[in-house]
Amino acid sequence: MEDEAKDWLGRAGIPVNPTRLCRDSEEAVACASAFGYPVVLKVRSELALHKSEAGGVHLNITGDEAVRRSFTTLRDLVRDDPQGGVTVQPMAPPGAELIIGVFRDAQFGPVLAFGPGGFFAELYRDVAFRLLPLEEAAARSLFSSIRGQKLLTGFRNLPPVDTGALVRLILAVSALVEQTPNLVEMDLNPVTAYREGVLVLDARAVLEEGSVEGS
Amino acid sequence: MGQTSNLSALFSPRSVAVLGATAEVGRVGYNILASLIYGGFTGEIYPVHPRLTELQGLKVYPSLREVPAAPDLAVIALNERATVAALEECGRCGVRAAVCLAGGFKETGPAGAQLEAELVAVARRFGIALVGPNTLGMINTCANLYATFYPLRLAGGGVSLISQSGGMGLTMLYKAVDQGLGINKFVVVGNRSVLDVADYLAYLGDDPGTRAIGLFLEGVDEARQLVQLAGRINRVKPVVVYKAGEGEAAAYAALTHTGSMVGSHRLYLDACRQYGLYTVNNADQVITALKAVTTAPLAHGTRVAVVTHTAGPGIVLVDRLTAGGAVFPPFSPETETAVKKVMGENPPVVIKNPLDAAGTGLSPDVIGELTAVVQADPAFDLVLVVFCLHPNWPFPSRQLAALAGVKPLVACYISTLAGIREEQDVLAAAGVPVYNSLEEAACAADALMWFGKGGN
Repeated sequence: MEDEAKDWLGRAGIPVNPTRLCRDSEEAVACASAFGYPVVLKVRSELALHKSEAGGVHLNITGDEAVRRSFTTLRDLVRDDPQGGVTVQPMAPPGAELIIGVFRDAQFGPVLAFGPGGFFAELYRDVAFRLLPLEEAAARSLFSSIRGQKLLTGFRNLPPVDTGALVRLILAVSALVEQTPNLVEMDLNPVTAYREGVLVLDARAVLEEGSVEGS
Repeated sequence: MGQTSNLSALFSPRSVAVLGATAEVGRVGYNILASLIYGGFTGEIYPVHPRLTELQGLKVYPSLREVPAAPDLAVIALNERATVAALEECGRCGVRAAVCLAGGFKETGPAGAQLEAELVAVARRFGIALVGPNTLGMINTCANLYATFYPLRLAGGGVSLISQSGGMGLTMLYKAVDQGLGINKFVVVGNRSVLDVADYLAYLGDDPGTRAIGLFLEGVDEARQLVQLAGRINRVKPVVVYKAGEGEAAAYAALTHTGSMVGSHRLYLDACRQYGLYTVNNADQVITALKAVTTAPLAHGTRVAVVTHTAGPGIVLVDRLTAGGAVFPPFSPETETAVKKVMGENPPVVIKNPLDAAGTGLSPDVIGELTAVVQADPAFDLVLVVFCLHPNWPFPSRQLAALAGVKPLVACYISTLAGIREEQDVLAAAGVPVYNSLEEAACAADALMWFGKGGN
């Protein structure tokens, strides 16, 4: 689940948007106040892997009462799942949306995929690959390998992003894959890159035995 | 492993036996012998046939056992069933390497696969370095060894080629002939049942005669190991890769479902580039790039200047090269002054990069002088010169040859192939690769920049 995947990534030194599983609306309120408003509430259920399509993501929630209402609505969506729950996380500011994926290719073994996220990722299939593990130069060369590289160098109202932090993130993912031979695949989607820093907003990981995933 | 240590027997045999040699001109068995003879193989050739006594002027031996000395290499031009028995005979007679031309093995189904397994077992038992089966054969110009059934005589050189297809192998060879590029070694890997692409690659990586390597790939097992091996070799010898199968790009799953993006074309290209290999889009570009890197010095940057007497080609070169990361900076004031000195104080052209010298540039001496001036400008890492074929304005080959030095020069002569034939030799000897198309010249410059910065 997302919160577990993020905890795991966080322990590996990867900057993640912290995500807490909350049992009831008061815990959600406490959590939201601790994070500071606005926050995001999401359903957490094996039965709802595509959360946003299922209406299971509430963005930009501000205020204790709004959190309570949102919690109740989301909890209701997963009432058939005894393991189901609701998570709370800070609402991250907008930035350049990227995707970082990892999979094992039959020919090439562990591979990292990198590209712009969101709508355009689906439309243009703008993705570059690197065999893992990789070194800094190979990580950095990803940025000029995608057609949407202006997303990184600054475009319209988007500032140039912190490519140093992005390189560190990619190298941390590479190291994590090396240390996790039972990792089958992983998606960090989206990763938001800012003028300073990067943040993994959602994550999903599949391990050979059981899974730690989000989405 | 005998199979790989016997690669030297394969490429440099003292003697070659031809099993399945025949008098019928239309058969492979005739043409493989014709090819060995026409190529002028320096060692002994032993045609083997149970009944014939003479073929194409050579004495024929009724069996391999009756050949005077065990040949290092056997070329087997028999059908697939007879090939297995013949290889067994080769093993018993001490043959160390074999080229098995016949198809009809695993590419045809389970029965063929079973037969191929038998062939492999024989090769392993005797430690025979086996090319194929299902191959066009191999060439080593250093030994005048043309063990294919396409009789050829090629200029020698430093470029070696590995092809996963006979037709694509010939495409590259014929292009090399057209571009005046000499070949060192050539092999069509066929079914790769004993020797795989990586085995040939490792051999060529250590081969002193090979200065650069071209690969045509359809798809191999253990692609990671192959790309990493090629990457290690690429640090000392440029490796150019043409991978077929672009259509697979259509099968891309969305990035959000990365797990199913298996074996995609883009992944192949990115993996090659990650290890510094130069990837191209067709077989012609393999030769174009290899000619560039074995003829000219590598570029130490991506700043390009163009000297021409016709504007359009300059624009096209900018188009083509910008995509690969090249830049076209302006001339320094000193260069501008020097250009004016060559062209006169008020030349009827705008002095900028690309430099279109128009009418004054029809003189090969003027083009030579302008090239010298631009080449001396430290703002540039590579200079491209464009000149058009004309009966009264000779190509500036002599002038460009005199300028060849540490900074790469690439000549693009807009011409028929016949029109640049003699120029090719003059320029190649001096270290200036010449091409008769802008696309080729752009590819050559791009390759010189890619390898100059060590890939990536």
